[in-house]
Amino acid sequence: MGMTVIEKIMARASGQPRVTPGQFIDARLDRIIAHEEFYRIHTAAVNNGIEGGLPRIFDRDRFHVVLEHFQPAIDEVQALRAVKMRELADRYQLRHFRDTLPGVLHRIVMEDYVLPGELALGSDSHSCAWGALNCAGTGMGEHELAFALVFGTLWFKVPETIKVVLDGQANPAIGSKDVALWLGGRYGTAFALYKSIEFTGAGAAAMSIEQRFALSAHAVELGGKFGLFDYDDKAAAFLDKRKALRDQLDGAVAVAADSDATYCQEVRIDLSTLEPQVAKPHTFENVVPVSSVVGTRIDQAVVGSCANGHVEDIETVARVVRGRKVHPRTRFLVQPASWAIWRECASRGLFDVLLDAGVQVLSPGCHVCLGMQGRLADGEVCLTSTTRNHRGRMGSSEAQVYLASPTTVAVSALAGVIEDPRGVVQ
Amino acid sequence: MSKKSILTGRVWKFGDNIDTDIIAPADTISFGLGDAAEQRQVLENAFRAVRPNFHELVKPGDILVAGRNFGLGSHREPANKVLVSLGFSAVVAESIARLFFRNSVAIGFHAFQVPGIDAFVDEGERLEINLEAWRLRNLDRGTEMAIEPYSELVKNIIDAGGIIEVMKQRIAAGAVPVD
Repeated sequence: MGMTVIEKIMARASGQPRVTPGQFIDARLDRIIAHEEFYRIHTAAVNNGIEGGLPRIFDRDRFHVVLEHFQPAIDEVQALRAVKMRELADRYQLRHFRDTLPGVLHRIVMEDYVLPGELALGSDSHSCAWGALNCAGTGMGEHELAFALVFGTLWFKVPETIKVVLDGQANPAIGSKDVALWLGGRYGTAFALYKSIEFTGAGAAAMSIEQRFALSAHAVELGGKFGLFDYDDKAAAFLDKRKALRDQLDGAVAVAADSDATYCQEVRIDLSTLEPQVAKPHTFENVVPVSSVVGTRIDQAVVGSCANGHVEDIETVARVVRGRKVHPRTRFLVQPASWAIWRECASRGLFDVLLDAGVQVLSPGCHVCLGMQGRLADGEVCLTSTTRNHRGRMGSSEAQVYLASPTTVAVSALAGVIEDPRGVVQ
Repeated sequence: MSKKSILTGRVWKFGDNIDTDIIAPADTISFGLGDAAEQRQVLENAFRAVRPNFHELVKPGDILVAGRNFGLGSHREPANKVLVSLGFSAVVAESIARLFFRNSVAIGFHAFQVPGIDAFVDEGERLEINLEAWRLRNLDRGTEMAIEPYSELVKNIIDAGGIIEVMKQRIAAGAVPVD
């Protein structure tokens, strides 16, 4: 009997010919990545009585710290913590400490660090995004990362795998965000609880690498542990632009599922029948077709985050707003996910198009997605392509946050109300 | 706390999809220094969107009961630690989000996934969790139900008081490779 992608990766990582779902393993980790939680990883050790902090780092060529969530710092606490982390970077003699040119962790590490076929941990819940590059990435808390950094291993329960098969050709106004939202609406936030998702089929193969980033990132909103795509020419082309750690890239071995692997569930989606989807407040499962919320007033529109702050997302916005104006009562914020994206968009003139239309372009980061910037007042309504619409996440707990694709957000920002993008984007 | 084999407490009940932004709002953790000031701020704001001033209501030993996918969302550990500082002895939910469950184990806090718990107990009733018999008792109704035991691995980490304690044992045993 064959194995799924994650079963193969976990078998290799635990030094066994095969593993089966439900089995507990002690797995060797290929990579660990931390953002600002690096500070809490250190203090988890110190506060629990390990004097001086972590006694060792398992592999300094495979541990990367990226200060990105709160750059530029918005208050003195964050500024002070960054100072402490710079001291810690010296004290632990880190080889990969990124303190300048921040952005969104997941985009940065997909540009520069993570590899196909790896088992990798991140200090952030959206680390499953790396699955778009066939990397088994998943989030962990600081206590477990402290342990993992010292020993280079951690316990896992081998997950069952859900196969999501994408078929058919979507309407041009439909993106992978709509697929993620549709799954949330149909199956709920516990759809893939403790499970791995494999996105496959002709529709997945046809999807651009950046569309895959969004779908893999949202595996966690569907409860999932991993959100994996097959490695193909598109993943190879993205990775080939990498300048850092080329020797590690050359050694990467992508992993594909066996044809006779066992899945706990199979879901088929015909993309040609999919409508634009919107998640209403306050959960990722409170999803309706856009037609049932058309006309809802929006005070703020956002395109950004690890899910949708990519070049294509900003291209989409530019295509929609070119030669037009954002509604005068709507603020439209666009936050690219990295400076590499910024550079590409700027050099192609996309930001000029956005600025001409009255869009605010923010420096790369996670700020808006988790309410560190662009906070909402009581009663305000936000339509956003970021990751979560949890109550209070983007400001007041009396604000209303709706999630939708960048296309739906851009079209709606022009109208000042939620709009069906199919009438606008051909 | 983690070594006790019987936990008894009054129940506070929540519904489905109680996320980490509700349990520990992002602006209160402010990704701060993890110090006393931050802990107080998280404590005073825990669950504020659905139960303002919750910290004034919970008594030591109380048990949090919730619906499906409790703790979904962020990786943030302050959401786990604040259940300890609120005084809870355990969380029992229809299901618990993966990261939230792992973080609970990692800090040595009891988290049980019990399908059917919603119908088994109401807010204000007293619940007894027996960690040897792996049974729940509703002390007000006199009803009982079985719960799934922890796996041995999870039990060992919780009994040790969390994964850092396991790490300390390994360090003491000389099991840390030379850097």
